[in-house]
Amino acid sequence: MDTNAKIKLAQKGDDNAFYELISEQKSKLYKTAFAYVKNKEEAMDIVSDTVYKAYISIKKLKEPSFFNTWLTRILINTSLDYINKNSKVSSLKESISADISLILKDEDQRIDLKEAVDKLTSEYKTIVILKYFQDMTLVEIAKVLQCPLGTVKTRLHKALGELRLDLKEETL
Amino acid sequence: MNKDSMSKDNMDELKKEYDNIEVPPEIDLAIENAIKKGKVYKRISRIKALSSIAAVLVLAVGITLGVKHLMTNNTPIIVVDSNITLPVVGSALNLQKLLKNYIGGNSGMAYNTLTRDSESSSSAMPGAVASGKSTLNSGVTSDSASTTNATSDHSTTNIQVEGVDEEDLVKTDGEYIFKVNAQKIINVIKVGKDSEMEVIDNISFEENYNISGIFLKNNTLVVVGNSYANVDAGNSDQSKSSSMKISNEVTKVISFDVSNKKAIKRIRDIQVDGSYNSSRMIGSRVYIVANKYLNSIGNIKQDENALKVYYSDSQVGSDKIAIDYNTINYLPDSIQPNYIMVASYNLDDNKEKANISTILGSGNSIYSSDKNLYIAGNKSINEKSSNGSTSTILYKFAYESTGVKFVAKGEVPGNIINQFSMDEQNDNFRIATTEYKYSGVNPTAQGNSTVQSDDSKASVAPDQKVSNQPQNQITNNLYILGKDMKVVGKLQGLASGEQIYSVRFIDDRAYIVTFMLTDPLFVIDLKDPTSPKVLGELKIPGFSNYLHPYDETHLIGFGMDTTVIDEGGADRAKTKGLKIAIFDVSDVSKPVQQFMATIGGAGTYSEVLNNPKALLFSKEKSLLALPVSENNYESINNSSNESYQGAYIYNIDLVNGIKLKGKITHMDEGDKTKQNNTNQNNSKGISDSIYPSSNGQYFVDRILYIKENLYTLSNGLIKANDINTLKEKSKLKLKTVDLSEIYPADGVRTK
Repeated sequence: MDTNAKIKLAQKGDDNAFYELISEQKSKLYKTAFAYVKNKEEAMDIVSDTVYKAYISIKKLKEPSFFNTWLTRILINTSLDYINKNSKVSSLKESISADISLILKDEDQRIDLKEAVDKLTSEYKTIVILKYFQDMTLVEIAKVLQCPLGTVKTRLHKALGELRLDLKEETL
Repeated sequence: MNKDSMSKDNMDELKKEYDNIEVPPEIDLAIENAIKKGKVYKRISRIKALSSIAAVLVLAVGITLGVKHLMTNNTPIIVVDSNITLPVVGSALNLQKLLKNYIGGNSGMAYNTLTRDSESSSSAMPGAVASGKSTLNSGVTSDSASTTNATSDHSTTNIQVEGVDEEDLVKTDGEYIFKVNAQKIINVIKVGKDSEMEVIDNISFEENYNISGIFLKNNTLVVVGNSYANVDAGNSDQSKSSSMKISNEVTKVISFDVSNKKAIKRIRDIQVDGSYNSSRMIGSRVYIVANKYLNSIGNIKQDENALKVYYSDSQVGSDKIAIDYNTINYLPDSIQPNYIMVASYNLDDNKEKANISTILGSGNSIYSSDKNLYIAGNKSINEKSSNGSTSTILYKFAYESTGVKFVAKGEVPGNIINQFSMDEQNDNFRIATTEYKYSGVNPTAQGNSTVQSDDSKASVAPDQKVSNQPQNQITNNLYILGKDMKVVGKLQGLASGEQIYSVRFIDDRAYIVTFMLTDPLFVIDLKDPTSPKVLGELKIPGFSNYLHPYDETHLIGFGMDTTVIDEGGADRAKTKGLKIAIFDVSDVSKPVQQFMATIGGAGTYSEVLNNPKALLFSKEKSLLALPVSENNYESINNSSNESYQGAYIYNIDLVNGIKLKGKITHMDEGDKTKQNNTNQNNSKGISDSIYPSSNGQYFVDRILYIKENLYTLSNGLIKANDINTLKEKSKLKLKTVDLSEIYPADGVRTK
């Protein structure tokens, strides 16, 4: 399975290759979008829009190996646009799924963190999603966000700081 | 510290929750639809000067006007038929009024199409199939073996209707080959008696002209394409600038006198506003259909000039001529902010002025018999009938000696996939559609998936899930319309839940391929136009995107082989390699797949699937050839450079079936020059992003034969091989252009 070959084909206009590339990423795309907007409809819209943007601009992707980075960047930008536009992001509590209790021992604590994450500005939230949900390295995050590594570190530090602060307040 | 670790644990749990987010099955269709939308966008923007138009665009039906009108008769009302008189727009003011009603009634939704409104664009493009390269998703001749002219010793373009030529990237008269290179240049190659070849000329054009295709008629070479009056640099944000680009887009047809190949003369330019849609050549007359979208509706008041459409004909002069509102017709029940323009001119008489017909209307796919031109458009989503299903509007024009004349309008439920969905026989018009019924009010949300129109099935990904969401809102229909475009016979409800992948009408029969998990090929009897009947059906794995007649009782299907896999409890069809099959339909009640050949693994692709013009087929010579990009995504060891691109040449007959004779590639050429190209690119600081491997210019896109030689053409090379042994006889480098210069690799928007 050679992703680079597919990317090259997709750049040449092979729709099947493009579709397959996206299919491989669809879960990640959807979950990330969902992490931002917390509802299915909007997450689907974001994924659609992301796929659309990727499709019309894949030719501009210079280096095939950056495909995932590039796609993630489009997704994030699209999500942020979406949030800014429709800032009716539903509250976390509504989206807490029923199976939560199965996963968690300390539900309250966890929900607190969820709320805290949700309260982060989108800049920090993005870092958290990429770092902790997508398990990206800081270097990868820097590539996705196209900013210096130092900036990523700073933002992550601040994001964590805010989370801890929030938690502290609640737990105090 | 403690806090830290707590939040870390909790973060892990959040991550778990993230991982457990359930991905809805509709996502596959949402992705497909997004791709469709992207295709529409590409078609609109000039990235590929494709045929079909933009989506919801509307077309305008034509009227006969233009020069003729200016010069001679001034009848403001065009008599369309003895009975039908279409009203004319008359004035800018009246047009504004008409459009305002349209907008008022529809909240202006249609305008969003071009700005990526998912709803409108989705409704848009059922018709268009074209993939990257194709110029029109057009196709092939409806008569068997018509790919080649039996009496001539060279192949011709694989067209849909005999006698109605379609533009393509390559044309030959048996002595010279004309090849459109990277949309920018035309290579003129002389082929000698033996296999020697010589580049006689490389015709170049103004910088912002993109060639869609060419026609060759005796000593005239006709080039059709798009030009951009104003390629503004400020196109960083595509969504914003797309409408700008459209407004500046003109369709340009250029004639060359090629009687003396050493001194090819540009003899005539005809230009009409709007994006190029499609063209046909019948006899010595060329017909060009363009769409001019009226994108400045919001500013109507301020800028009435934005509503004007222009054309020019170098035979008349170099100035742009505004089309008189008194010659622009409209259909009162179907106002669209778009003009359809049909330009035509006579290759044999350059004194005769070009004829331009303009109508306010909407359309995108074209079918042409030798008598009539049919333009099919999607009914705007805003006009959708209350039951929530889609429909197709059909504009019928008759060819006359000096142009076209509107005859009638028709409408049928459902959307078509491409020009092959339509056909004319004995004054009857036949059309096969896939109908999507909306179950909800909001087609954009997750439901957008099930709803759309289009070609994606044919051109995009076939992978499709049978999800829990039933797809029973999809059904397939066939209609037969009389002369006046009223439905006289129909067959509805075919293969519910599946979509049409390909259609071919041959005489009294229709062959329709639908697909979900397996491929039913339906054989439908049309002898009695008032009561079409399913005669038989064949279910096999895979599907065909294109059906070509072999003889009266056999068809060749080109598509993908598939296998059914279980994915999370849901059956899903996964594509394997490319598949070519011969179907025996002599027993109509029991069609069988008689022979089959497959190429490569998942990811293998041929332009033929989307653009049958890429096919070379000669029954007499038992020859079948097509360009293929071979891949196997399943194979782990396959590195990018191992995928293969080249022509696959088959021997085809009803005794031995489809036997691979050999392959011809130009890739080796690419490897040799790769080093150079890379260096060159680096030195110029350009990344070769369109053809990343730098072998792209050596991708074979057309195959033709002249006498005993088979010629394969890529942008970088032409090769001559013996048609029987496939032994290479000679090759010749072609002048091409660096596409990365044309489409610079800007970064994607960053924030």
